[in-house]
Amino acid sequence: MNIPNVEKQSMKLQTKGHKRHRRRFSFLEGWLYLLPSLFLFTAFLFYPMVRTVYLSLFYTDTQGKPMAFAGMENFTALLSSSSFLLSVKSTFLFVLYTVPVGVLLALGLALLANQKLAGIGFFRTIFSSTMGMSVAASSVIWMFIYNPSIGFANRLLTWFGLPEMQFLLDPSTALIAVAVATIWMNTGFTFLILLGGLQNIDSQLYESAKIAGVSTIYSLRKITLPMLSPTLFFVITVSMINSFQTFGQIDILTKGGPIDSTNVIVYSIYKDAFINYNIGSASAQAVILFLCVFLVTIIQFKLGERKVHYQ
Amino acid sequence: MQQLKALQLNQIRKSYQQGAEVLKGIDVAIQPGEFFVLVGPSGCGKSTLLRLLAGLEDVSSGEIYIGNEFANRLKPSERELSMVFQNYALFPHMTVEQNIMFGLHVKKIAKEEQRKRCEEAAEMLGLIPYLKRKPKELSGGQRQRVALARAIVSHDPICLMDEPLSNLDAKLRAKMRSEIRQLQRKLGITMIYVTHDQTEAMTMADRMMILNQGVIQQIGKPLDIYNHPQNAFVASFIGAPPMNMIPANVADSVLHITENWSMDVDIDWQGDVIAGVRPEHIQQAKSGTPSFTAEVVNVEMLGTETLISFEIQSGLQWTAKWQGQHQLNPGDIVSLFIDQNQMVFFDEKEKVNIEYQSLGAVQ
Amino acid sequence: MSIGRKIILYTLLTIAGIIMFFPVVYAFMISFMQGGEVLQGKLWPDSFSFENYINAFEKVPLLKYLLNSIIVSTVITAGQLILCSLAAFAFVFTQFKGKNLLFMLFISTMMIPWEATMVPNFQTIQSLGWLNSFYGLTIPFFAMAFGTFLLRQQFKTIPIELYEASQVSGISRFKFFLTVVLPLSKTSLITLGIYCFLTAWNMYLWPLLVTNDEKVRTVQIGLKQMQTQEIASEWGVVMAGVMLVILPTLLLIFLGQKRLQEGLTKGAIK
Repeated sequence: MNIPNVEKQSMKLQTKGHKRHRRRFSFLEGWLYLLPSLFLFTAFLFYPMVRTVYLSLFYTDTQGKPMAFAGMENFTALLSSSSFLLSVKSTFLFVLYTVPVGVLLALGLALLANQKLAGIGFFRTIFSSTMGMSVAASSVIWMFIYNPSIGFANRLLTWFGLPEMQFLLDPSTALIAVAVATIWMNTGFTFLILLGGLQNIDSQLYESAKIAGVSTIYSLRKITLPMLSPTLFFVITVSMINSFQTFGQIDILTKGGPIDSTNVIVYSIYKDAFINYNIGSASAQAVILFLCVFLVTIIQFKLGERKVHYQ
Repeated sequence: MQQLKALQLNQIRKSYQQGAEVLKGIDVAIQPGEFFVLVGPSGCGKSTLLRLLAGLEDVSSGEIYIGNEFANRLKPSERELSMVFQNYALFPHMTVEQNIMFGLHVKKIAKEEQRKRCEEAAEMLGLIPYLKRKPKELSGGQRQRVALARAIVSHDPICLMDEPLSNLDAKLRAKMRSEIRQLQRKLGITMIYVTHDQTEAMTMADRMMILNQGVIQQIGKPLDIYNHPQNAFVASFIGAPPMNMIPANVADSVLHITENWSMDVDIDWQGDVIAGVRPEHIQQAKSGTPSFTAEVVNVEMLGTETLISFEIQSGLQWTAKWQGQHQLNPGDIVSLFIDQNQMVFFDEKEKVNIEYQSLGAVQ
Repeated sequence: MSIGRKIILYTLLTIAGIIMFFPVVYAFMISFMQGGEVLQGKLWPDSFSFENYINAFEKVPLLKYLLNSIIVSTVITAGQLILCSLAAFAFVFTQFKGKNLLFMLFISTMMIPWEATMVPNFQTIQSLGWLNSFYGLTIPFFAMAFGTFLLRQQFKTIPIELYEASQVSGISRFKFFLTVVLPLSKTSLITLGIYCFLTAWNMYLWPLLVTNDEKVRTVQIGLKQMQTQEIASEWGVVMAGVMLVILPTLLLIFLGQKRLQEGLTKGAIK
């Protein structure tokens, strides 16, 4: 009489066990898919970041082996070094030169290219083309443009009746010259993202505004810009971070010169680590770079949360 | 509140660069204060027509008159009309109040007056508690009301609506239908309303226009269209369940429908026709009336009425709608009766109602 | 739109287009010029001969560099697509403890500038013996948070019912990933692929650090090498090199501009 009952119970237990087994498998499976990414992030991002912080606290030999604990020494040395302070100044100036102008330029292009006109696809491709131009190739082109004797820049100046300039050789203009080239290089990407943002705005909103009869400027101010604000915030953040990380164009155009006027922080890290073999100091600079980028991201994130209109 | 305005369209055509002509010569006069519905299947050109009226797109040829003014070249804002969009087109970054008042400054309306009108509209639509909220904090029905409020604050004499209820669920749709209708009556505006839903068209319209593939199929009052459809398309598009139809033949006043079913008809016609009958006109046969039998395929009981599907010919099902509740099962044989006066006939080639042909009113 | 407005727009578009594209056209013209023409500061070459291009291939092993770049970019693109799609799949279609935490971890990777980690990374690659090897050039870049987010957005649009249906019919999760999720996300994968390829092709600092002979050196570094060697005398040859380097990526942009714009916006904003 009891037998069927027992059978039922054991069956129940079996299914329960089976379920539990499956859940555990699912738990593992999730991690399994993430494992390759996690491993590489750990090996090539988190570990080296921690290691950088660690190295920044040590005096190192030329191989980068920590020799003696330095505490904050590397940092205090940096903060009292005029060349590092100049580097920080150049970096911030560079960000200031490139980001606002770059974003405004790209925004202008995106607004132009967002019109419904025949052949607009051609212009969009042209405007986004610099995204396909490598830093090295672009820098070489601009190097020629800035060439004092045969470059186009001076020919343009002469044409307007202005005196010729030594763009990359003059400490007072080199950083601006590099910034102009950089703005051009970054326009493609910024433009593409902003255009995408503009196209995501529901066209019925504009039609509604048309029927109400508001002016173009008014709908730009009251509809387009607020609706575009998440994209704008993203683009500003990315541009700032990119700007902090500038390297290639400096390496090719100026090598940090003249008189360190374009020695931005990443170039300075590179020089200290791979030319002067001063790993401890390079690491301390890297930590400062990290903090800057981290700060920008956090500020943008906080501001973004408050100000930006997500739908 | 404002002077009423009529609308007149003469031979409106619209084609796009890609080639296809979307509207093929639309002629219609819309009366002041009328609730006029444009209805048709998707892609028939009804929304395009509305956008031409609004001035959001330019006509390829033809003339638009608003009031008595030639309006082809007027900008949307100069046409003195408001528009409610299918997805409401609410500005997500503005509050309900800002949304409602958007653009009023252009009309040189004083701030005080703007606020007054906004409150009036909000009051009318029950939006007062939500004025400071953003659209995303509202339900679908509330957003719909904000869109309506925005359309009425401008006090424009004409209002255009593009499928405004299609994003709402069935219950809310029914409610908003009557609300919009009442609002239109109260304000006395001329309403042009686009929908693909024939129920909406039937229940709301003073007059309606049925469009298919850019061509007007029929214009008229809902019941006239229901009872006297111009052609087979209109007959099957208007009414739910749709009109039953079958190819048949008339010879010497006898209509031969199927092999074993013919009936006397009193029409002046010889040859092939398409015969149509509305589901509610297929009745249960009483003894003594000429009838035919059919096998029930499916029964849907809706409480107040019963829908019976049966096969009239192999591969062709008809539906009958009977009042009340009827206990029937698939497989049952039923006797059915159709009054010949309730039947509609379309000529086999052009699919035009022969009643209109004999009147010489073929379009 | 009124005619006047159209004329203004087209004028502005044309001016902007000319300014934006001028450097490329300028470089293109110079790549056909002889040394003398360059020095005279001409804008249009006397004749379009491919001499500079032939020279470019002869003076530096440009062909080898191009091939290296193609290998590196393709491998990085493939690696990123695989790792990103696996990770995105886990975030969308599996449930496990710590998922949100892991997601935060992925987000946090975006705050670490890669340049801040280059010194220890260089040491790691060195100790692995991966200097001057394709391993060292590619593997560190396989994991990518941005790509994971972009694909996660795409995967989220796949109706959960499809997943449930496949579970009911007893298909394993991985098979569901291969046969349903990936094919449905083809467009996003291609978009991301284009982006990855562009970025990898244009990489500069890392190849500069970890390559020091022509065996694996990429074309970007080859370009720098050309420019430092040839600088004063043969700008025509250098520009020929520039044109060869930007050709593949410009083509990608011309073909995939629309896709890229739609895809990147999706990943960036939502």
